[in-house]
Amino acid sequence: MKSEQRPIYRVLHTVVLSSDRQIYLPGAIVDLSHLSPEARRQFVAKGLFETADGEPANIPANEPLPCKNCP
Amino acid sequence: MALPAGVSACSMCVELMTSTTWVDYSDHLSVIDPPVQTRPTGEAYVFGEDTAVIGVGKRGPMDVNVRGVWVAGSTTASGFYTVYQEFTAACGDMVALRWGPMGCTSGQDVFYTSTTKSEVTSLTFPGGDAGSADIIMFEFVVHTPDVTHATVA
Repeated sequence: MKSEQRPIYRVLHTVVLSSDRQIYLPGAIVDLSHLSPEARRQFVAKGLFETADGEPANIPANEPLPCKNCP
Repeated sequence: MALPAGVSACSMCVELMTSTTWVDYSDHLSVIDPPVQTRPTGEAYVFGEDTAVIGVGKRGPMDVNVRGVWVAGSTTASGFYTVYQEFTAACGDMVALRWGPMGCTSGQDVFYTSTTKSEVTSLTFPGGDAGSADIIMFEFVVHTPDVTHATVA
């Protein structure tokens, strides 16, 4: 069974998560599963977060490896 | 430009942190005086001009004055005794302060003092006047290098 993907985001502006009341500084990777999809969309639109759920542009570790035997 | 939707402190929340956990003390605390941070400036004058040459320095530390209702009982559930415990610890201990002018719920703005260096530099103990019906209050001052803005999400 395919597991449900967690809503993982990168913090762009200092936030306090209502799930644990802790402070997260820009650059932190957080799980926003306590928020509704609509609330997450609004916070992204306000510039507080950007998605980090597997989007290659947001995860340096996912950058393509240097190719071997390139044409 | 439209008039701004001004807000009162009616829904304000205040939290304290003495270790790693923020605890809501809104039921005990009454007043946070608006803290002020200043940036020092220097000035010099030269013969050839009529106005000053201005230099700017770094932002100075801030004092946040807080008042609350004194509640009997030496438990950490009391705002006074929480602060008292940290203030009387040898060499002092940290009391970070976080407040949200419109509350601490999702979407609201909050401000917080440093979570590594927020020292209680003054604590006013509960006093009383036999001829007064006023509520007995206490007061403390948090000295901090900075206050940071965050959004609750």
